[in-house]
Amino acid sequence: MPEMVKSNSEKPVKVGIGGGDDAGADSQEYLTFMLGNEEYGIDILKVQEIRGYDNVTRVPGAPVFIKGLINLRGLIVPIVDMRIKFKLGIPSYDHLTTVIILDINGRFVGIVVSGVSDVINITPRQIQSLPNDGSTLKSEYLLGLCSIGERMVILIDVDRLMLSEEIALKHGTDEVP
Amino acid sequence: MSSSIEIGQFFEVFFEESEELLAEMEGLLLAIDVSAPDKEECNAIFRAAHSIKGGAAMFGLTDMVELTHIMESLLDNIRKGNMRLSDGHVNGFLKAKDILKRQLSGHHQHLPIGSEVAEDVLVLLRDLSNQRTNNLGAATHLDASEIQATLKGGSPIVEDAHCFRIELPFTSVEDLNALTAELGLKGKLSCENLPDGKTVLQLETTQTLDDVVAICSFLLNPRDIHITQASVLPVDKDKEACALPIVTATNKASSESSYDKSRRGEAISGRQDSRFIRVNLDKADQLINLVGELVITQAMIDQHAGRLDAINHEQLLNHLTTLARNTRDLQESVMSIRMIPMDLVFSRFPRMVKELAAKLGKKAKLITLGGATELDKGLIERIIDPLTHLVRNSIDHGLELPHERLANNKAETGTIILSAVHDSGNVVLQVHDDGIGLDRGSIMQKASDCGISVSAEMSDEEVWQFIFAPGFTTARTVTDISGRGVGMDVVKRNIAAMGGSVDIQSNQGQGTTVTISLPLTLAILEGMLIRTGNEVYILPLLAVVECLQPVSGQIHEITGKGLVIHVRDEYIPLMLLYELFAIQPRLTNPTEGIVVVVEALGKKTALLVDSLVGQQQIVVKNLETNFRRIPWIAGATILGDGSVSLILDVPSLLNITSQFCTKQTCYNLASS
Repeated sequence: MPEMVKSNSEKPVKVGIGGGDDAGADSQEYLTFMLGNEEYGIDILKVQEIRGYDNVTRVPGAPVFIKGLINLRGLIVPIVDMRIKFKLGIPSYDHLTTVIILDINGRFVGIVVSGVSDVINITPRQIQSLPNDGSTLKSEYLLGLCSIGERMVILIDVDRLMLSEEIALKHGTDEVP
Repeated sequence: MSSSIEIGQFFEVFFEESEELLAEMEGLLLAIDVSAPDKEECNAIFRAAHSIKGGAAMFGLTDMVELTHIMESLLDNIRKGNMRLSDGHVNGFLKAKDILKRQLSGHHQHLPIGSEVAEDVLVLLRDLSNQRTNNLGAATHLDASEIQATLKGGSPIVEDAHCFRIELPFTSVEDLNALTAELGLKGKLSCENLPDGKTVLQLETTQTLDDVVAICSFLLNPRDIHITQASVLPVDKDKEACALPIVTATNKASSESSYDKSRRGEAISGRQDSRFIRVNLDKADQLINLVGELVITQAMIDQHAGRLDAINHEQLLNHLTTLARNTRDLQESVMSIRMIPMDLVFSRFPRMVKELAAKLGKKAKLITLGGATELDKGLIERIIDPLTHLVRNSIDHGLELPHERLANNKAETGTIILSAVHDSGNVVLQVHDDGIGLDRGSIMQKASDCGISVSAEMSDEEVWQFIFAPGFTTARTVTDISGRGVGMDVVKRNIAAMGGSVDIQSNQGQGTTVTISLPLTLAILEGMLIRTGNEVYILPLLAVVECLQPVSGQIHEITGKGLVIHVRDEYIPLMLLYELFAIQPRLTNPTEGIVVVVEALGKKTALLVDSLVGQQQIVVKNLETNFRRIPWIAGATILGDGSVSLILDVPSLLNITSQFCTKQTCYNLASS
């Protein structure tokens, strides 16, 4: 199984742009990835691994953004295509398609993204609150915005997003017909 | 915080240990010979009560402390020979054990049960304790030799009496009262308050120092207590003069800990020499998963190696064979971790049989065979209820009253045999009784009353199956034990849910045998792999009735209701799996594909699939670990090539078909 760490920049480097001096105790590392043309960030401690996309087992009756199930070393893990879910970017599947495996409080889920970009250090001070409805994602799933040099990163509250009824990954949310 | 986690862990350990101790206690109580109790057994029962009390006190479970305390005092008197063991005691202790168990599970679920539950038993045990006082009161008029004579078995009571001087740190009034009450039971106690607020207790007792320390430890930190010992003294002499210090541990942490250790060591050696370690079930399951992975990887390597030239790669292939064997052995031993002997289930029955038989005025003895047979932990837990039900049935409906048995030339005491054996990948459990047997006539009568069609030519096996029908009972009177007609259907359903089956053999007048056949484990299932479009699904082989290639005349369409297939004079609804799962089909003409007839809960349906892939043992994985329940899917597994495959849930598929093809429409079709 192809297992790889890819990134749009050459390699994931810890950058402290815009905050080199406060990479202190309260700073947190975020993994950023691309969805369409926007850059999103998630808490790196939630990331289990990054791997390539290979064949998934379709789940009958599941919504289109749930691509199916994969075997992650004996665990059955669902794969959610964020590009389809949030209508960002073109969902295509080849050897460059990237899956981020997340560990949401012990439950594993893979998300398909357009590409992994970077690992950045962010302090709470750098996080700005959201302008009204600036993103495709509902603001309840977002932690805020952060500018890193020229780039703007949208920080996602990945726990809330993945356990939300919208994604319906967990039982107890509405039944798939 | 970490400390609260640790407490939580101790709490769990306490619950587990207490449950084991209670089970052990019950076993001992049932085995004990009332007329000549074994001293070691009495000690073991006492130790169990004592350990539970200690743990309960540590966690502030006062209701349990209260009950175990009374038990302990009574037991102490019995083991010391101050009191004769009677049936009343044993029954009282058994009742107390039940209450303790309820209290324990109440605390475990943080729903403590009310104190009124324990009231009866407390009263009972107190009565028993009072009898002791009366006995002793009478005994005081006798001289020493007579007392000796009344003590059967002659367990030595005259041990060396000791005098302990216990210096307590500053203690609250409640603690002090509790402690003096406790120590007061052990011997003669006097109490004096020192001017600096401390208290000194003088205890004359036959207990050892360890016992005294253990009692104090319930309430106080043993490090804060000074105990000095004097040999038995004539009363009213100055004890302090000849007191020799034996424990002065206040500032000697090291000696304290080694003392503690040795004490613990004694406690452990006092129990049965344990050859077990307590491991979290999650860890064992993880190990099983990992080994499952290893087996799959090994199979993949084997697949690739199969293409290699056997002569050039002889060594490699030899090594691979060794690897394959080792992997299989490893898998077997790892799977055995979850296996638990049936004894664990069987051990609860002797008491039930004893009590039930007594209640019904019958005589019964229980024989258990094959208690060492091992079964998956998950199955063990689920088999208890069905087995309990069957044993109850055997006693209530099966066994006759003693006079009836004698009249039929049978032994007065009925025999119930519980057995477990391994049989080709299955565990076969049997409940046999030598009672009256099933009455074919009355079952047939009752069945036709219930609207089931019966005919005189039906075989016995077919007739016996009626008793699994919901609401079926032939018992003339409903008792609180059985006869309500809810039971056998539940038994059958529960066992079917475990992937097992139930059979009955019965000879009128000679007895009934119920045979339960279960798979060894829930985690492994014999599956049939089927292909539809590009997807491979798995059907549990147990559910598959037959596979056939249909011809065009066999398939009929019912307008608006879907398709049916005519197989062996039966019209069975036909489901197109590709349609249901919205799969791009390879073929849509049923005559090109394969029809698999599946059955569950007595209903049948047929599935159209593209082809059959094969049949293999699969490791069932829960989908809800990381995902959610999916309709019509029971679980998932990983195939030899590492891909995920879904296991179809046959009962839920049957529910869909029953919507568009009811029995009535099938019937109409058949008659037309």
